Amino acid sequence: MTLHEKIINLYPELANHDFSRGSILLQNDSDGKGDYIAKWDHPTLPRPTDEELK
Amino acid sequence: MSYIGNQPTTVAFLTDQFSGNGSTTAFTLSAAPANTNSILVAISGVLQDPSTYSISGTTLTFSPAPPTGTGNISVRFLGIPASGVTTTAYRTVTEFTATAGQTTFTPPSYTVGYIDVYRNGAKLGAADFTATNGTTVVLASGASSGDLIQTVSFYVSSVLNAIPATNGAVTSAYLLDGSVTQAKLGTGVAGNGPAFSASRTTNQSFSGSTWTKIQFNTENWDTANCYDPSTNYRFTPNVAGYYLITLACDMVFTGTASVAGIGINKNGSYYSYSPVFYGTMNSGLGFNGSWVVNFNGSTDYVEAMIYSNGASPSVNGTSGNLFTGTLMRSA
Repeated sequence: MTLHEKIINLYPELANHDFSRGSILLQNDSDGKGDYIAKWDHPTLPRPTDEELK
Repeated sequence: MSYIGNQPTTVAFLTDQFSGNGSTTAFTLSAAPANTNSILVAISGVLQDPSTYSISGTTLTFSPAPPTGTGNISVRFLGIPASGVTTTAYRTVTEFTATAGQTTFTPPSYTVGYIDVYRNGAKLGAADFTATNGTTVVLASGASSGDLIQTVSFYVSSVLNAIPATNGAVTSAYLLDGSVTQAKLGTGVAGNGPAFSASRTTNQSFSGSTWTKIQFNTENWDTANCYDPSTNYRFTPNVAGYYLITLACDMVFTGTASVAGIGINKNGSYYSYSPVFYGTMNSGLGFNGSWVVNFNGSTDYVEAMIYSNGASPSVNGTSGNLFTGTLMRSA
């Protein structure tokens, strides 16, 4: 399951534009370390904890 | 004051001034004197004998070190060796009416090898006179009374501290900052700042809905070795200024996507994600983006990013993807 899918499972109300250029940016630096949350500025939803994303 | 000849003019003698500290023995002069007798050196107002210092190029060395004092070492140049352009300054014709047996004649100063001597209109051969000191001409045999001795001499002088008109003689140090205008440049002259072009020839899959760095791993050119095509896939220009960054990329995915786009990160963080398309897209889409980015010329870098929320998205490696950058304007 991708990081995006995990977040959607946690917060189904998130829309596509939240991830594309909105308040949430997921990033992959192509360095083998995988996806990570580069930015989380959602006005109401808290940033998921590492535990919630396992 | 009356005088004979050209009106005398005066110029200020070049003077250097240094501060002694009791330990420094060597001081750098603003010009290289010919020898120790070509300068007057005073320490704390006391004139120094030339034997108490030495000269090597522009380095003036004392032994022992002058005492501590602000501006207590004064060096006045009595003359500076000429450098630069050698020129034939003038030609002089001088006539003498010889006395009986006269052998020595004194024309104006001449450069040795640049003088012809005539006796009653007949040019003398080299064996008939001696002119080796720049000031006198000595005939091999004494003249007869009333002989007309004529000298035609040249004095070759140097223009002090002039810059020779030879290729490479004028360096940028002699140009006033900002003085080179566009009109002074040749037609077709362009800057030679860093520029690169990189591409990717195989697909690169990436996670959906995640901005992912594109690994452009093939350099088309990299003029200043500023693009990293193997580890970080980033452009880190080594000249500060404003760069045009362009990105052309084709992506493919399975089924449909509703969001897809490209952009660039600067220093690892969002800089501009555009264009991003919203709507139903089938199988894939091509993008072109361009940005003008300011770099500090040392640590700033940019990376190409891609995004799609389609299933199994990937960069299409067979569509001529390009990531380029070139300096447009220096900082």
